[in-house]
Amino acid sequence: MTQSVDVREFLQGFLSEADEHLGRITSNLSTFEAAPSQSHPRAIGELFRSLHTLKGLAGMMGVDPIVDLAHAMESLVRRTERRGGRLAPAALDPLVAGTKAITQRVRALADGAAIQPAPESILLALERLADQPGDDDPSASRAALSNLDPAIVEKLGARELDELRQALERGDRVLQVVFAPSPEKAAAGRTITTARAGIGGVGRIVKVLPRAVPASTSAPGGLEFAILVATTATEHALAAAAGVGPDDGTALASAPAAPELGVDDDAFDRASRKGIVRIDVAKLDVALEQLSGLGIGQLRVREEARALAETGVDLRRIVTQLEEQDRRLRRMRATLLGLRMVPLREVLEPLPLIVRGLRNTTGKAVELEVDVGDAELDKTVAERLFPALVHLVRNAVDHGIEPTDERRRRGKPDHGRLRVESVAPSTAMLDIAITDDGGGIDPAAIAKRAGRAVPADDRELLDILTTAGFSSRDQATTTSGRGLGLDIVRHTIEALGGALELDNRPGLGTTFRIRAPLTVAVLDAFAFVAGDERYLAPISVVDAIVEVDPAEVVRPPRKSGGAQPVDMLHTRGDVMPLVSLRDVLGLPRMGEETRALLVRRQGRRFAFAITRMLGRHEVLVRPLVDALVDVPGISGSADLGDGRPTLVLDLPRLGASLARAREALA
Amino acid sequence: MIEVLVVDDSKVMRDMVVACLRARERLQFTHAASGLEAIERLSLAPFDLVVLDLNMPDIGGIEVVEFVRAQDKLRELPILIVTTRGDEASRERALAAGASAFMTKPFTPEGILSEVDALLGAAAGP
Repeated sequence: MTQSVDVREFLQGFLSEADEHLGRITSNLSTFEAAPSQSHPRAIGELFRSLHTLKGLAGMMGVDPIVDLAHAMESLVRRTERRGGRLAPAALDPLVAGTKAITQRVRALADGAAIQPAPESILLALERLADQPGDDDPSASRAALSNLDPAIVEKLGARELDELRQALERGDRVLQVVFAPSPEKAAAGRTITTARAGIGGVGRIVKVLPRAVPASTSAPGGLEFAILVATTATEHALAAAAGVGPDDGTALASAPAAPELGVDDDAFDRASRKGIVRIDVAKLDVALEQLSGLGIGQLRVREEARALAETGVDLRRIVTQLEEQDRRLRRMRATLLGLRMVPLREVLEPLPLIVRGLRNTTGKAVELEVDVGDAELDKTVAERLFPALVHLVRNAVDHGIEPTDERRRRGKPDHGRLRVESVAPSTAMLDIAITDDGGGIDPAAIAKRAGRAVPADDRELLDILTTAGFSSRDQATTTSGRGLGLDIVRHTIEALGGALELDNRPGLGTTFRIRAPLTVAVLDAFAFVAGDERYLAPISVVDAIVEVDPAEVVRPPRKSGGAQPVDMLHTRGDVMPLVSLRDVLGLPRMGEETRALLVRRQGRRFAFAITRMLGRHEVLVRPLVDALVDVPGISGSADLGDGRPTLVLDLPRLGASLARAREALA
Repeated sequence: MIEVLVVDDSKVMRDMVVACLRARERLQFTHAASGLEAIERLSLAPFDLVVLDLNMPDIGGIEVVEFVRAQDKLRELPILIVTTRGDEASRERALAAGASAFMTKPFTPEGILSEVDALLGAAAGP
């Protein structure tokens, strides 16, 4: 487009739609990866449409490399569609490579970076496959549907006929449902679009045929839609979901006799309004932030009420109201958080394709099993966790699973097994295990490389493996060793408030276990002052808040220069380092440090001296940085309701890094 | 006002079409995100022009054109196909089905405006 319309205006819309289509492409390619020899007419149809739309949009945005890639992929997919949805085995790799190349270029566009031309090798591979002759024969599936009305069959394409044939083979029945639009229905929000959404909940819509009919009270527009549905649903379930009447629904092809379906307008209403809205997570963040502001306002009102009550005013009825309001706010928060949840299964959809790529680059035989049930997690957690998961999967294939000859020597099956599994999560924590049946990790070799003592257990082994910069190979392999290191994987997970665990079985395999909260957005935190600044720390990491009694502090004599010895705090029958948070953060020495937060990390306790407590808040945390640009000790920022950002401190990590610094000095 | 139905499953693409055509003040736009939705809207309210994509998830643009042309009251409705399918076969199929004009994406504001002006001039005069 030229001068009068600015494409930049459409960039956000383009990126969001491109993302959606790329997700759909990946998910449909995964269908072929899961069952390569089968025909998947629906997946092919969706692939084709997504690629085609992407191509058109990229053309409007003037991004030719994406146009070229999408075009080459689309031609190959169209060819496959004519073959009845069976993808040539050699076609999956270039399609995956093409998807990756498009994704990179969409990212570059989002980042304002230069867009690389489409890789010739990928274009060539796609074109070569698209040119191969195939057996385009839609008549085969046409014949298989001999018991369908020929008037309908002739209106169906090869892909739809294939889909119908497969549905009948599965034991589905094919039903026809008639929907006639009217201005009244449209005004009530009942359109062909909502009708399809309702029916889509209980069956697969194979085709919708518009039919001109004489205008009547039931079809005032002179139009009705005949909707072909393949379904296993019972007549009653379908009737309830679709709300079709005895004259509107007929069975077209099925083993059992066709049922008569009864009218239920209310059921139709219920079903057809079951629409889906896509929302930008940023908008949900705004809503949560506003809710968090409401919560803080509520807290202030409660404090005012308490002060007033102390003067003798009777506020019982107001207090009851405030409590009710608290409950409503909590419910509202739970609802909003629920909107941000995505199925873990969907998040992990690219894994089969990633493992496929690893098989090709490493030449190792690996079978991936993903079994994560119905677990759901927050979209933000998913986005931050996914790269860590991919890293662990890459590591497992690259370093864990042995080459075939070595596996044979060890008496293992040729194919390495990689299992990604989610144990039924508790209400708040996600638990993902990545297990391989490879060679495991040799603790002695790792210790030698790191120049440390041989670890006593898997926890110590993990500590060495996650030391910054540690790599178990001299040189980065083609697949692992670039991108995130295991230290960053661990930090990403810990920054989310989770933990990484290792179960090493030398010779038999390795399990990495990720535990992470299902949501990070809202944090129950203590607000406090250190020096003259406000900070937050998650309640979950603070063991206790204690008064600092100078009598309980042992202050070793100061030295004239160099590192100073650490004060020790005697409290609760324990002795631990007492660190001035003000000094650690380099703040001016203002105010007495009269309180301390007790924090524990990996068995060690620390006391952080602070100036004063401000109270407990539920805050919405925003990550300050991504995992690659690490600010030690700070995990994000939050708004306490006055618009001023307040830093959220990662006290355990701060304590650990201080301890390491001290050990280095000692 | 001149009622225009813009049919494309991509919202960005519909927005781009509208942004290009907004230069003509008398045009009023209705969006349809699928071929079925387009047919439904056409059955319920009068339109003066349809800008139609070919490739959509439920029924394709050609089927929409075929259906529209089979209706007496819609026989004269100008239909402008705007598609990424630039091949001659697609053009021929669309025109044979009864599309009034055919243009390919990417399009320019000038290009789509001149097609629309020509169609509206031919139909009723702007």
